[in-house]
Amino acid sequence: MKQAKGFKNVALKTGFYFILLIIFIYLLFPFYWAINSSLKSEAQLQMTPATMVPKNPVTDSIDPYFTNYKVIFQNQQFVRGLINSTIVATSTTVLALAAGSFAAFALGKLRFRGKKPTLYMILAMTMFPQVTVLAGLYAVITTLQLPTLLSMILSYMIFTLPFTTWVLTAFFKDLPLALLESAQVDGATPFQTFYKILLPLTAPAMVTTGLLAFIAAWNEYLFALTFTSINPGARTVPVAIAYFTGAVARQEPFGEIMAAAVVVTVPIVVLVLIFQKRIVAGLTAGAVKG
Amino acid sequence: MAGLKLVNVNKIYPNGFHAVHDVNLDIEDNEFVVFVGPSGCGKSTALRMIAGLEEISSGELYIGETMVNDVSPKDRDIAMVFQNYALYPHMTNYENMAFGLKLRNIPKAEIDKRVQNAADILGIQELLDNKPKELSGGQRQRIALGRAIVRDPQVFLMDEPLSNLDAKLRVQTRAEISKLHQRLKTTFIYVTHDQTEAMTMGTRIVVLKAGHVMQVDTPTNLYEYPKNKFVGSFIGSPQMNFIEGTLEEKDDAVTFHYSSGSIDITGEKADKLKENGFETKEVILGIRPEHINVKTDEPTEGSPNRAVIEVTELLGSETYLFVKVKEESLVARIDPSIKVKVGDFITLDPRPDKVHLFHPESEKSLLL
Repeated sequence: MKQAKGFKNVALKTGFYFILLIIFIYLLFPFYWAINSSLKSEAQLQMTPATMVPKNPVTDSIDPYFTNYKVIFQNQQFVRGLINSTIVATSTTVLALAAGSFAAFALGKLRFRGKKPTLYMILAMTMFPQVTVLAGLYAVITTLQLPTLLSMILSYMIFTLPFTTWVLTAFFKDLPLALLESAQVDGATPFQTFYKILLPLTAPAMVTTGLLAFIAAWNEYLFALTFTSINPGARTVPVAIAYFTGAVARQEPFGEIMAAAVVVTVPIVVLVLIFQKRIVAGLTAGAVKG
Repeated sequence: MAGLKLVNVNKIYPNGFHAVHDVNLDIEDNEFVVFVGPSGCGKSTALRMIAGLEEISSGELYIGETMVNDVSPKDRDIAMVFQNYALYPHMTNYENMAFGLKLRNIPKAEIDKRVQNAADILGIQELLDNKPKELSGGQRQRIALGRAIVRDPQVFLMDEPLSNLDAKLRVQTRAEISKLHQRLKTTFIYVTHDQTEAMTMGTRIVVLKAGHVMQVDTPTNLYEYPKNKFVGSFIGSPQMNFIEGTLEEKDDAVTFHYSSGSIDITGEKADKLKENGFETKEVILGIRPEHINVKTDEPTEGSPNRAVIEVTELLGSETYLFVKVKEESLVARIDPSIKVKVGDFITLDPRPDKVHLFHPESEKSLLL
């Protein structure tokens, strides 16, 4: 009996790790393939069958090709795109968190009429597909003559702000009311209560939602493509990559695109690693009473 | 260091719930007033109105000479200790205590002096650099008390501060809060549902029921002269016994008759009854367990005040007998040297000078 149980345990564990492995490969293989391709020259990319690591077509020895990376950083459009993306994504995140946390404080902790309708209206904002608002937004932006970068920052709020507000509202709601009352008796104004008590306590949530907002803004393509159509200088990095052209006509610079994709992913990976601990705390906090 | 005055204070919630009815209260400087009552009696609401955390629906609230109805909590010069401590988790205990002072722009040196002083009083000097989550419940409670002490407020408000502590710690902290009151010489208002806490700590007790003040008095007076049946039953443990019966007037005494016997009421209480003009013949008699003596004389069937023991509870210093007298269930407290067991028949001998009489409908005392 005991042995059978032991066998069952081993089988279960093996199965578990096998499934884990499949998920792992499923998630990471595309990224691995991007890195692999980015380190291949045009000739290496043409090899059939495709090699799992960059190999010299003649000697068959491992031979990574770094020129792709050199080339993209010499590409003014790409470098400009990185700067534009950093400006847009950072501003979007900061604005979304600032406005979102104020809204969430009110929605989560203050009493006022029309709270529920407000919440649902905010949620409804996220329901429209981007394409439906695109044309209208474009008209608004051209009419108002907004600078392209600013127009992207403002339009990204359409999807980042409802999201940050909703997630942060849930967090603020979970904070004990007594804390606020205690601060009130201690002599804090509502604003002092907000930034001295509530804000530090919701830091994990802020980091998590902020990071997700940043990723969304960083990767956004449709709005950026449309709004920068008349102003190529304002192209963000996803658009810049899409506009990569080869040395000869109709050539798709696949290696360079892959190198650019890898470079664009790096900041996000670094951010996630920096805030790793906080993210886990943020994703699980509020689920159970501490 | 100020008195407090509540004039016809009401709290009506937007949903129509009338939580506090016409409370009138004069709290003098340096008093330790306890609001006590069962849950939902409005005691916490009353305290929160004093703190300014709830709006006063109607009536006036004075702290010292100033009416503070529309003064925000931070300007009322009060400090409050919450049931769940409400310490700021991201601050050290020192910062927790200093927070209110910092907001008032008090110089750093003065803040430090006050925090150290409070820490000395509470014996928490070693804990100042820790965060609240590293502390036990009792230690957190001290930090919360410290946070109130450093503020040096006019009025200390405490909302069931001991209810999250275990029984032993509760008794200990009870005494410490009493000592603190003597030391600080400030007005304390303390909310609890526990009559023992109220009786042991309060200089005056406000008994509340369903938003109405039932009686405001010293612990001794509440125990000796309850104004109504509710106060009689709420104060004292185990509860006062109640027996329905009728009164019969004699020359110099009054006799209370009930289903299985009678009690002669003489002296002061009888005089008082006569003086009040015998409002009713039907009454409810209240007698505390500690005022029922028992005789182990093995009474025969039909003899007056004969009771059978259903349960005995031995506490060491005293024994509680749960007895049945015909259809009435009563509790008596006896000396543990009296040897009795379940099923024994005994004769109850209530002390006539300790009885209370209440009107069966209004439930008001007939002896006041």
